[in-house]
Amino acid sequence: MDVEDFEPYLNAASALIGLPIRPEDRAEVMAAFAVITAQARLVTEFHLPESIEAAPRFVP
Amino acid sequence: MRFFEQGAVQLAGLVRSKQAKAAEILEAHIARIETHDPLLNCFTDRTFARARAEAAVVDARVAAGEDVGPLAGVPVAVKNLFDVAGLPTRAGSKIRRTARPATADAPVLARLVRAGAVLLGALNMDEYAYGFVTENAHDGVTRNPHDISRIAGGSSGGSSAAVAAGFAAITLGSDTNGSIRLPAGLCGVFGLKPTYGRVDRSGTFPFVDSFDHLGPFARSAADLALAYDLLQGTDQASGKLGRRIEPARVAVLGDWFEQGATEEMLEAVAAVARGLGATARVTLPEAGRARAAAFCISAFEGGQLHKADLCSRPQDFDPATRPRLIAGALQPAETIYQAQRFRAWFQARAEQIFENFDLLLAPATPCTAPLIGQKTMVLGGVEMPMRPNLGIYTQPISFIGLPVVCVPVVSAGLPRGVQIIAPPGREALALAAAARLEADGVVAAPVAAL
Repeated sequence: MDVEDFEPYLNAASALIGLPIRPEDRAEVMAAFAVITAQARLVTEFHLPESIEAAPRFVP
Repeated sequence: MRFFEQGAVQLAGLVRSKQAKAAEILEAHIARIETHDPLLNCFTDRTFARARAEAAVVDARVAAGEDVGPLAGVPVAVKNLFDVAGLPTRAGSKIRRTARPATADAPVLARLVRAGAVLLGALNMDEYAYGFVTENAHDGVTRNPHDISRIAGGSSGGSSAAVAAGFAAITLGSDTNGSIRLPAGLCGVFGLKPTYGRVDRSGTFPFVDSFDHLGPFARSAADLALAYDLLQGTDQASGKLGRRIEPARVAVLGDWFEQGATEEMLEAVAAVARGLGATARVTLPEAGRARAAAFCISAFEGGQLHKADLCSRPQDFDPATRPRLIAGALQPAETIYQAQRFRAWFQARAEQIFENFDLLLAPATPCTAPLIGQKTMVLGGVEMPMRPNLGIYTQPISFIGLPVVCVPVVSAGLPRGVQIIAPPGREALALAAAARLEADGVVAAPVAAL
């Protein structure tokens, strides 16, 4: 995906959660989101067994 | 004797045995700071009046025959996200510098002071701890004492550089994705990221609740262990530094933790492995995805934490921080949920490895300290953005809360740090390995020549 492909999602998410993106920040936010999305894909494409539960807290 | 070259154990010994006064040790450190910090830029807040008052109390108590504590008269300093009574806890930001001053020290700082330490001040960092460079738009760049054209690393760059420069014997920092281990490695000092949850985080400004840790920097394994003992209280490592390290239970992490590293960093890992007699190599599977998951969760939690200010006063953020926080906060829930599920899976893989090994070795960084302002770096022959990629070897480890000692490997040229990674709760073993390596001359943290 190109960076521009994220713009509709970012516009919708920004409006939905009430976090505006200033025009002067837009290009850098889109670039940062592209980096995050590339990392996110590494996570979401990985198949996990259904038995795996989320671990929002580390427990030794 | 130059006091600023002495470690905490030595300095406290001099004070407690009345061979030196806390006041003269303090003045030697203040003189060092006043001479060299205008260039290095470690301190954002100097609390010299407080330090002089604390040193006077230490000297009076010693004169009265009291046991002042194991840090008697030892100069310390803290990253500026720790509460310091009377100072706003700025956390590297412009926004918080007008916050109401803290009414008390963070509990971990109070522990050091109760042990006799004197506080020199608060130290520079990346804004809200979201960075690996300490090139702060509001407070300036902290320079690496071993080469002032290079970064100190971050986000606890002021903390690592202050110890390397001989400004303080012990400093405190925080580590979410590598912010203790990475600057310790680049500045050539010892750093400890304890097990997640081991050290009380109250009285410090958060970044990513899921991953935030507090820990010390020092110039010896003994000082690091002493600081660790004092920061918590349930685990005591200082008395275990001489324990034997079983070579067959130590392994070098391969795969992800070698890919992209420069030859000199791989040589540093090999030197530590040789020093511990380790010959095994092991793979922690899917470490790259662990790094990715930590990356996404950090951006999300950090962005959400600062959402109100991102809405109301975005212009007051560091330009290097703002877009990443906004983008992070806008991530879909799927990413964060799957990243947290992956965390459980990855933690189980690490537990399997620890059935056969006690200590794992990996570089702290893919390369030695980059130049200030450097935008890209070459990883495995590919040019990559520098800032997000400095922490590729630290992020998978803090993702699952493991304790790590970063040791400075003796070598020509710029400092090289190696992570000694232990199972949860076994900080003492990693510290013992660091002490053994130090005794054998494999690792050392001399004060930088300035």
